[in-house]
Amino acid sequence: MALGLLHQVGHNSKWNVESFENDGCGDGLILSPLHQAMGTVEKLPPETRAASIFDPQFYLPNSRKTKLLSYPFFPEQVDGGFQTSTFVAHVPEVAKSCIDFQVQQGFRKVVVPTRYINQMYPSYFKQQNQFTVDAFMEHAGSRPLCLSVALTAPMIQDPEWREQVLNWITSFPEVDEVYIMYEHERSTKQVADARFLVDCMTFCSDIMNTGLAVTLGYTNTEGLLYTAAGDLTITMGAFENTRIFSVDKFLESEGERRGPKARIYLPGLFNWVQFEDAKRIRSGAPEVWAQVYEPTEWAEEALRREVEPTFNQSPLYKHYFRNMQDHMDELSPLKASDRRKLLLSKIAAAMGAYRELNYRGIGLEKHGQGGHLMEWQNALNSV
Amino acid sequence: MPTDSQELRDDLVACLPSLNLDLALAQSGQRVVYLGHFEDNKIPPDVLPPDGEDADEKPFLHGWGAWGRIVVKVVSGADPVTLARLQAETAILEEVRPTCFPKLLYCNLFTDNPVTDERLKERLYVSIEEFIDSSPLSAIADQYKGDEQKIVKLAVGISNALLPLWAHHRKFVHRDIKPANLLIRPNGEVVVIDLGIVRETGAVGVTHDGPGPGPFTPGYGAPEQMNNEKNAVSFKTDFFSIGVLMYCLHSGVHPFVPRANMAMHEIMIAVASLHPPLLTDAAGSSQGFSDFVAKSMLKVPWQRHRTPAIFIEELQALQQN
Repeated sequence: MALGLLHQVGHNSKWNVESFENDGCGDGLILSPLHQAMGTVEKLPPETRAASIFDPQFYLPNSRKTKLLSYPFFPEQVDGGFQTSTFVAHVPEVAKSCIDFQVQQGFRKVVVPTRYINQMYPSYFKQQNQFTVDAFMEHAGSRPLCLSVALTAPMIQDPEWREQVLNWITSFPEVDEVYIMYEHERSTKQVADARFLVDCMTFCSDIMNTGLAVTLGYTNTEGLLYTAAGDLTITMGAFENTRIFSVDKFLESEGERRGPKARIYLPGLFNWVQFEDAKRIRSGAPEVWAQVYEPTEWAEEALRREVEPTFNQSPLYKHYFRNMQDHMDELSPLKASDRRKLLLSKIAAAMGAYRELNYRGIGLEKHGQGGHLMEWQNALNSV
Repeated sequence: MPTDSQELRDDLVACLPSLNLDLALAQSGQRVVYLGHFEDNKIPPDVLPPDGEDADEKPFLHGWGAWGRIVVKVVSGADPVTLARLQAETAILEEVRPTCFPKLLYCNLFTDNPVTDERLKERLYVSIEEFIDSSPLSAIADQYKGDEQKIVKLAVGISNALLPLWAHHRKFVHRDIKPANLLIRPNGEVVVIDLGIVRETGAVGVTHDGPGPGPFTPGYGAPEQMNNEKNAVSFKTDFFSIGVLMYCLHSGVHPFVPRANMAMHEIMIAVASLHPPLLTDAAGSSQGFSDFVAKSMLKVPWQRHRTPAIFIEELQALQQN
């Protein structure tokens, strides 16, 4: 196995597709029916589909988002609207239709959807099996499958639950890959929680040690840390809701809202910094800027503009995708232990850059600051 | 739970920067309602018109000034499954919505303040509806007192408005017919507001499966609604409320709240067990009118009018008499 990087497709999916097809960023895409109507997915080039997986996104089965409803097998489209009690009678046809679609489209692997359950109910696994898993396993035949599971942080961190989750996801002979996403509730944009990072790394490592491949979805830049756990696949996304998992994304209309101020990813800080703060770094501390900024054509173009880019324009996201691919190109050839060393040295350099900015009186907006780095350092030192 | 506060208003205006909140209308349960309007010249430069990259994308803020006065409803404290159900039902209701409901102009879930880039204290589900130039029935109820024809016409209007919901295969029920939720246009037409769904969103809303009463308005909610007998709640639950409304309008007295300051439990006991005086005796109504109202208010759903069609036919017969 090798490290992998997939686009977590989100709003304006064409940005991800262009980045993959034209700019060579990422190894493929995790296609998102929430953002891509059925016709859009079907029109993708066969090579793109072959490098990608399609996440059916049954996490909130009664979501009414228009594009999700373009898929006849989405639960809300079944029997006049999703109801747990009646869905059980329809799940065999849903499974068949969803699997057939994935096979016909030639995706890399057939993904088995599950629903998002935010509590550790005793019936959790039974509910998941009855909802989709049993029917999908039955209809998939002998082809290898990818099981998608949206977990909460306590499900990964609580020892008893973690064991039950591991028992469950490793109990299907047909499954050779798991696509996991976690809901980690926090007030910060970055995961600044060493204990959670360590637990998650161990969790991924435990799964990989059973021989299953792991794709960790909806990761922000903390995804890079998990490469120290072994050869897994992480993701990169444009809008924040593709970098932090929440079922809210199945309720929001992303285009029909006001977004936050634009941010630019600075790889030397492992962080997204408000665009105007970045410009102040560039003018006020050019040596630090040279250390933390990795130029791309898109960022250069954005920095040249007289009018600041807005959050719903593509250049700064394409810049991020390129930077993430560069990170991965640097980490991929290394052994896990060497990745850890490299990441630790880069984190130390980032902390130094933040100190220098502080020394020079260049204050940054809260989420652009480096509070996460100490936690990241502690996490990597603990594994 | 949202309350009308400067913080909530600031959050709303941060999310919808061209919005002017003119007046807080009402606050009940998990919802705050405002009257307001949009001013296109307040749209900040970072809110761009749709660029055409997404065919499904609708204009955000741009052109919303043309809506004129609008009603803003804010719900919070609801879990994602409930919100999804709310959105699903809202979408379906949009399909069947007749002209006697206000038009839904926009709805979305807000989780972050775009100005501060911080999470909102509570996620806000905001819906914006057209403003109806009208008077709430609660403010003009006196104009109906003793006027059987006017009351029957009103009941026919309400029933016709609700018919697409009752007839829908998902068997929608309004569940909150009362004077405050009925608007009367200057030409006398009735507009039904608060489709009962938004109101229910939250802890004791549609997901309430445990013991204890279901969501209802004391005095108007039917016994099965009070008892949270979900299987028994149907269009007949709305018949009960319409019957209570007709009784109140004709007699000027509430059949189950005959005196002021009654406690909630007293009202519930009255709804469950009190048989109010017949309207023929209490207000000198016609026998037909009195019988119709009495049947609508029977305690057990199966004893009320059997179908919406029969309910409306009997009302129309009263109109012709």
